Amino acid sequence: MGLRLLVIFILFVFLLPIILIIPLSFTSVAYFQIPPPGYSLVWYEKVLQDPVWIQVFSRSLFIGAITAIVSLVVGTMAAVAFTRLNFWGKNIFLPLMLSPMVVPTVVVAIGLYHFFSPFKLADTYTGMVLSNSVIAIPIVFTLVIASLKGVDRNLELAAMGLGSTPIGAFFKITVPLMKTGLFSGALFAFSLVFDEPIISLFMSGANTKTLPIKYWESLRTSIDPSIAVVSTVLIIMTVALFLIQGWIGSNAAKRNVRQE
Amino acid sequence: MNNAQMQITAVPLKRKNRRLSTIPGMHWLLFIIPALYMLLLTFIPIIKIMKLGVHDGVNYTFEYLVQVFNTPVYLKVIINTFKISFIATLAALLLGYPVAYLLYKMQSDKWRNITMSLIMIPFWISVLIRTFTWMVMLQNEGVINKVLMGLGLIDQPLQLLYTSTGNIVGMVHYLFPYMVLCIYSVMKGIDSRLLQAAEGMGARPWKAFRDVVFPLSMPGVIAGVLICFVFSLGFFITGVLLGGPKDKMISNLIANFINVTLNWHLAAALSIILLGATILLIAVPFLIFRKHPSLKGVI
Repeated sequence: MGLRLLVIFILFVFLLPIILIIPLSFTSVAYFQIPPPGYSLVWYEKVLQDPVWIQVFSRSLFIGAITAIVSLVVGTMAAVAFTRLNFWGKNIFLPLMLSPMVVPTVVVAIGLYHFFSPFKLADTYTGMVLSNSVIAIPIVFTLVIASLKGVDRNLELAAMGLGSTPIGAFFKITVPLMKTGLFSGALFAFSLVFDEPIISLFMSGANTKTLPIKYWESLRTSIDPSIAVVSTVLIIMTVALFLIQGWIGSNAAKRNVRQE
Repeated sequence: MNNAQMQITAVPLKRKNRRLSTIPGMHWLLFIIPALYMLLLTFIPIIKIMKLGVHDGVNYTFEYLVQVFNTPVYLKVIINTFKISFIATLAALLLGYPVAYLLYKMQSDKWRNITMSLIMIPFWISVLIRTFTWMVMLQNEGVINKVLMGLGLIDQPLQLLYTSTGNIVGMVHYLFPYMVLCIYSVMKGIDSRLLQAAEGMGARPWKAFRDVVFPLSMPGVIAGVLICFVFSLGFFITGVLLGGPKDKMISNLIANFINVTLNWHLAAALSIILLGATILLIAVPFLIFRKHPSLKGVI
């Protein structure tokens, strides 16, 4: 019983700050007081009328989506190669694909910043997508490997035996079977890139300022309840994505059970 | 029968020849494209930046590394980073272990899923937002101070924001889910009948835990501690927003060299130290524990 209380307390302390931000965004004053002295929608109005917040938000959505697609393609290729092929250097392939997870992000960021400067890729959308995909690919790679392990290889072999090409068999048999894994990989990659601050801090400039950069700048210079509004929107978005992902996952699990 | 079989094999063969995938070696692209992508966008940039740390444009030199270790200010940042990372990792372990153990002991799948979601929701929320929420919590008129004063534990608000404590709180909030997942993934594999046997033979719950579950969960603890420590060393956000002036981490110093003083060589030398520590921390335990039977399937 003592253990249960302790765990409830720990989880409560870790969730409390996130929950408390939501009422703060409806405050009527310009400072952070809990509970707020009055409630209003002024700060929502202010954020929605600020062209910069809207611009960085849509820009982050765009960069996040493109990066998620790129990472999904590259990560899935790597996962298929890793689970289905035997090749020389497979032992090196794994650490190579996973290295951005372990290497401190700042090191990756300055490495890319330095590497991209002769190509004039800093402060371009291409540069943002390429550099952010580097940290998203390992996530997609691990998630897709996990879901590929659940797919019976024999089904694919059967399709090929019945005359499908390897590529056809992959898209017609394997992809539908592991689409939950692909979906959660893409979703994870998107949410990672959507609010990734460190790489963007080096790579973005006036033309490619993203939401996390604007957020970071506001935190450092002018904190007001607009930040709480943006946080609330992002928290709700994140929790929604989390629920969608969990719902799709549990649906897929149910379907598998029924089929068996 | 024979005829039908012939048809089945004959049709696809004809179709197959038109397909791109029959070009021999085509499937190697699956391996070559991602490998080249990562080689070009991770490996080579990191090597090139490392080179700046030991190369002054003409010759290889240890000048920059020596300079980092000989300048008290930089050395202090390095030592401080290790110290803060150690404390944060330890705190994450102390908080994460009971949670993982309760997850292991839980009988109902429903409650386990709910607890898991409560652990994972903060994990999905941007580190910037979580840092901001702690800025609000820790300020002098923040919730923590109000609660402590309400309970009569303190008379004056404690200075929590812009101190090492603030920084560590923010870091632990980030590390906690990783720690729980690492420990729980190992605990999950411990046969629960072992615990039942120990308790059935008269061991009290605490003794059963200490003699059975705890030793068997050690691989998870080691993995969790290493992962959290390595992540801590690279922390960037919390030190600036929650920590005080003394709480600069190695990452912040690197960013400072690049953005403010434009000293790429020193930034590179610090990156070598940071990356070197990371690789050592991952590689050495891996080599030691690689043969350990309980790690089968974990790595």
